[in-house]
Amino acid sequence: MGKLRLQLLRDLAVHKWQFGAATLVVALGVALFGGAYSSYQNLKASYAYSYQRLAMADYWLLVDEAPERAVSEIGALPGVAAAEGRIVREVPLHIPGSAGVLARVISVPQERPASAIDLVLVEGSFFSGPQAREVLLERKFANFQGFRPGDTIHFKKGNERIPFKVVGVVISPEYIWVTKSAAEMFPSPRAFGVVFLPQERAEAFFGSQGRYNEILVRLEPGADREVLLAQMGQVLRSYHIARLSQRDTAEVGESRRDAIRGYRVGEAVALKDQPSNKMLEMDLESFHQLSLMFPVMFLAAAAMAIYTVLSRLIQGQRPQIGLMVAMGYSRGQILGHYLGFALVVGLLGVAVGTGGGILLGIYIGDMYSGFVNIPLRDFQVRGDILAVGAGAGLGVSLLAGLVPAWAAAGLRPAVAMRPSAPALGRRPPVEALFPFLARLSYTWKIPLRNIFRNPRRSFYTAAGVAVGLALILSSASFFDAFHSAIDLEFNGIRQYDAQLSFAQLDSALVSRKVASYPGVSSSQPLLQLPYRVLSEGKSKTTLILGLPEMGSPYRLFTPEGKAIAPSPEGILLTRVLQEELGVKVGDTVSLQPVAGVVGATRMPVVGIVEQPVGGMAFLPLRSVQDLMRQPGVATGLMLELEGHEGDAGLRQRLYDLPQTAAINFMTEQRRFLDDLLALMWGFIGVMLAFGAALAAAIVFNTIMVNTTERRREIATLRTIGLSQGRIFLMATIENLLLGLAGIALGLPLGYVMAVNFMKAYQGDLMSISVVLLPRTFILAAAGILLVLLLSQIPALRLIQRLDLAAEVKDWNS
Amino acid sequence: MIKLEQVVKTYQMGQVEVHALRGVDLHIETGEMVAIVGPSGSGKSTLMNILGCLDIPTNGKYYLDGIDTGKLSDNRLAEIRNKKIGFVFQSFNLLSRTSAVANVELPLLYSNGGNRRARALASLERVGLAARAYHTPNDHSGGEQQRVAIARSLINHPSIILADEPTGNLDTRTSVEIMALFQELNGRDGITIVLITHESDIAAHCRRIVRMLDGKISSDEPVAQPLIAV
Repeated sequence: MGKLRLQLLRDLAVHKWQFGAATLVVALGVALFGGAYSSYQNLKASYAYSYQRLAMADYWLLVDEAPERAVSEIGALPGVAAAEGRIVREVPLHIPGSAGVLARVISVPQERPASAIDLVLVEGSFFSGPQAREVLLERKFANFQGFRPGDTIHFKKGNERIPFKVVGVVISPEYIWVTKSAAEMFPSPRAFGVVFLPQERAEAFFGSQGRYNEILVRLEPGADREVLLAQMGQVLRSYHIARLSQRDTAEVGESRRDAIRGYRVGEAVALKDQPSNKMLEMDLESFHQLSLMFPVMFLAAAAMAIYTVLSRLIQGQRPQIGLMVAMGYSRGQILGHYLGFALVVGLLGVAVGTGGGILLGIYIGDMYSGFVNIPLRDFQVRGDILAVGAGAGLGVSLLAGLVPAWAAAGLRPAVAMRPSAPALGRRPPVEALFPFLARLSYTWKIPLRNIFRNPRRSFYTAAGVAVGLALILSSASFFDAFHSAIDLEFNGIRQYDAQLSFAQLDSALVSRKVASYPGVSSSQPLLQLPYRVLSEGKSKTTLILGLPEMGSPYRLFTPEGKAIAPSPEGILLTRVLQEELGVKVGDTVSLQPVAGVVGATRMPVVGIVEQPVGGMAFLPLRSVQDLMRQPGVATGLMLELEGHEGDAGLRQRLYDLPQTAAINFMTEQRRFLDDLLALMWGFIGVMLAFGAALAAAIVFNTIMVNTTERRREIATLRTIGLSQGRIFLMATIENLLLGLAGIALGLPLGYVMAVNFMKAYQGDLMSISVVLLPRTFILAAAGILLVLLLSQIPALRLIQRLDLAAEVKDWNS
Repeated sequence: MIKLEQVVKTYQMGQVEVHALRGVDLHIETGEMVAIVGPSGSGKSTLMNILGCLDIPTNGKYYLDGIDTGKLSDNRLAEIRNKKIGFVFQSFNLLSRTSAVANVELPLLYSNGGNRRARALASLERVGLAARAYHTPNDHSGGEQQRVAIARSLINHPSIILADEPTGNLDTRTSVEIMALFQELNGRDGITIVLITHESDIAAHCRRIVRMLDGKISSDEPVAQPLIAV
């Protein structure tokens, strides 16, 4: 082994902890990139693969009713790969002991694979025949309710309970994320589930033989969507559907006129607007952000770590460098020697990081698989991504090492062998700025001066703490934001305990009857109808909620937090809907009912409402009844119950009402959302560990470098009588001050990262505000300070072990 | 004041045991000015470290003002160094970017009150450097830096000054000046001075010379007529 290589190994062994810490930061960056970016690609590929293999639809044509012939004609259009008609209806399910479940029943053709939206069977079998009295259950629902193949479920039709046999459990690409609608993104599987029925059985069940209310359309690759939409619209027009509107089309004005004239209007929902797909896209986008933003920060920190340690090593080895040059080593050899440190750190970091990245990828994949229904997985170790991560890790390490190594190679022997000039004594500018600092005791003054005399290193330490804190804060902000949104929803907006949904439009007078039940504190009717809201060429299908004008337990708040009541003067829109439509208070919007043609109108926007999830609109109950020309109707009740959930007797009594389809208890809904959020603890756990490790590695490194550099100074202080405790105190003060500076930097940095991170959750599905609770900040800052204090232990032990006699004697050696 | 009884110091250097001190007996009374001389490896620096409470004997006893230092904790030893001993090193060991007066103040960390600066200035006055109190070490000559170091050693009114090769980095003229200062402190203030040197002309300024060889005291003799530094 060559002398230089031997020297390299020896130096690495001597400074193993410092180079080890730098290696750890490189490894963390590479692992985070490899794990997170691979997972992002794996999820993206799995969704795409599932969509492709399972013939995911490109369009959902929502119509009141279209005959089989219309479906065939659409299927025959050039550019259409397949068109399939289906019936989609919501039907109450009777589950003994439950307060009712609303099932979305979807008809499925017998032929396999289906030409549009095929299902993946995870348990049991498909239907035995097109007429079979059998159902397939969506996996999340089946698992939550504990249904297995062989069980029986009962649909509730009036007072009838119609049994169906569960033959299989399936996953659908349409329900990778199970949503009820864009306005109800997180239905609890306790109250909502997706059930698949054989096509002919469904037609018989709903009495609509050969007639469908949804047409799934799959396009050929490269098909002209605009042309096809127009052609599909033409086909439907011949079946009395005057116009097929699409979100963001410029023809909304005409659609509105059609609706006012009393024509039927259909709606084409593109895949990009399909709620499950949209939710996945939103989630992928935030993942994408995270998988790039965080590793970049880690690698920047790694570069600083390598630079700091190597610079210090070279400074300490100046005489050796001079000697090597004097003995005939070339500059290239010296450059190579010192670059060798960066190379070793980079290679080790990349090796550990790549392995860690693979494991992290597997962990994230497993976590996601428990979270969403991925029909077909395309999870693989992505060599290209790992290679990019490895290249970035190694490249950053070498670049960081190049600067000090280059400087070492450029040293002239005579200069290098001369001891470096003593540092100039200058009063730190901060003492000039704040004269009281000069009057502090040395216990404070020395740490303060150390901070200002090594600004680059001080900045590096503070930056390390800041990045670690920012990482923790931005991850934690996800929880704070969602917890706050859930709090607003259940403690602010929904002041009722249960929502009783009617099977169909019914009399609001039921409310009075229910209000008289023992255990019911109050009951208020609610009218909830799907509507299209249109403005200036933009349209959005949403729900309009008709609420009692006075004393509604469904409270509405402006974005400024002021209470606002629905007004007969005009409509209230949620901020999400307002932004989607690009309207403001005072503008006029058009309203079209999704089902039927009665109820189309125009009205001004009179206010904006803050609601975390769902673009909705609000009117007084009576205004919606008037619009529908059906006075006194409601779709459900808002109930305040004693003890929030009522007793078993009351629940049964409510469920036994002939009007009842399902009862959704807010405590259960909230529990479901809290559980959903709790699944993300795995993610925050990883981020916490990474953030803490980063801060620890950086703080450890700077403290060790600082201590090593000042060991003689420290030894002198000890020799002239300072106790170890005092020296520890001074080191701790210095580190704490830097830690506090890091916290001051980390707070805005964490906030900016959180804002970026949460941008993905501010769209037309939801508007989750960035929230960082003071509690989170205090805990994160305290945690980081604890990490900092623990990181200085090795340096303090070094101080403890200093050979005072040797250090004070070798001052200039 | 200083009493060493059969002090042994053994170091482990890898596989090899180095016997730096092999049973040293030494008694130094208050107000003495003693030079410890000897060739490299004779054990004089080890002896100095033990005298300065920077190290403890492997065997034997070291009593400083009657206190058995071998039984004291690190912090207690630090306290003793702070209160009783003033150190002067060959390479001065001043904090480089700190003014002379601030360097001198350093051992006063434990003392209260606002008279620190006054005491440090007084200490610099004693070594003739009051006028350059606010200059930093790199503005001072070697001799001046050593004076600052001596002023620092005096700040807590120690009963002993231990000087390890105090003139090792100085030219002859400056060395004599420093020795004059030591003689003045010894003669005028009665401070016990123990200095380690390998220069016999420097040792000749002391009133007693202890010679070390192979970890033992080979001779311990008074100087009939110490040189007077002027």
